[in-house]
Amino acid sequence: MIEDTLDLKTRAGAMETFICHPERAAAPSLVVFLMDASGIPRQELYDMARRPASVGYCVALPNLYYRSGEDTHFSDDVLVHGSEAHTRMRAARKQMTLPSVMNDMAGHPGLCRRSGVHQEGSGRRAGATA
Amino acid sequence: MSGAYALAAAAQYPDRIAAAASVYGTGLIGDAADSPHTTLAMAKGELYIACAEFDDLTPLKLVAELRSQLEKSAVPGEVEMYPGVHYGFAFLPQGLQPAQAAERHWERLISSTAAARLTQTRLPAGPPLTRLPAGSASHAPSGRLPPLTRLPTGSLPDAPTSSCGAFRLRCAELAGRRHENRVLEGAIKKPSFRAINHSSSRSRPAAFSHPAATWSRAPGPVNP
Repeated sequence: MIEDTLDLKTRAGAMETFICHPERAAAPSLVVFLMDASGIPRQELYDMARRPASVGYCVALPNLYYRSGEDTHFSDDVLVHGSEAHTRMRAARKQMTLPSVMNDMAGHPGLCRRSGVHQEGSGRRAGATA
Repeated sequence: MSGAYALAAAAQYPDRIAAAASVYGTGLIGDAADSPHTTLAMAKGELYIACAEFDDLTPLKLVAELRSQLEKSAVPGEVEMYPGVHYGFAFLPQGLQPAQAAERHWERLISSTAAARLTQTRLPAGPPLTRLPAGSASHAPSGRLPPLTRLPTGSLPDAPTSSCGAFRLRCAELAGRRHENRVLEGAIKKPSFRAINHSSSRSRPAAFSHPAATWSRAPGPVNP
């Protein structure tokens, strides 16, 4: 399995995206795995992304909260209403309007071409997710 | 959170998305003009919508409406209700949700018609992948992997060889069974997903740690 974390350029900035794909699949189809409210970085979601990758897909897991800056790691009480993490998460979600996320998605479908996987991003955090 | 985005993307990029799935997605039916349920018919790919039986945000009434909307749209796909589970069932089972629901959703996603078509599609080969820097945790092997060798018969015991091991295995089995019963009782007595969901994402109360782990620890003082 090949894994990487890339910053994909979108109209709104750099969208951190966890990518994993098989070493031996000739031309994997792309799965864009959209996160839940707790978001990433989170091992639980990376593990879920690895599962379809293990059967031949290229999986991209973008951080949809990227408009709120790079620090989108929320504490364990992120789903507890009224907590500080929940308030921050809600603020990040408010920026995720449907048109804006559709623009984010538009950057993905070409990602899976073999020539593009490791060339489109900066590679700044390559291998950091293991 | 993102089920609505997945369905909306299938409608917005019908020629680029072969299949989209929402797994206990929220906000699939809303009053907004661009609510995903209004654009289902624009999708060309296969749609799969999984819903939990117990979900305050997508109650069964909305599940029925989603099913009706999908049928009207004539888009290939399915709305499936997972009985006996709450919002959050796709996460690895850690004592709160039955494992079968999580595995079932993987089966549906990976073995869907569209998925089968995608994995059989062979696109023209491009230039080789750029390798990650050597030494990074996930870098690809540089050459061919050695062939797998079969272990000599009898080299691995398939059952505990000591009575101690057998005892622990049996204890774990019994504890697991009691644990399952407790989870089922909990599911019946506490149908509110919020109470369960808050503790199901990252932090795990000690009471829900798997009993097998407890049994394998060294015995401590009894009733100190």
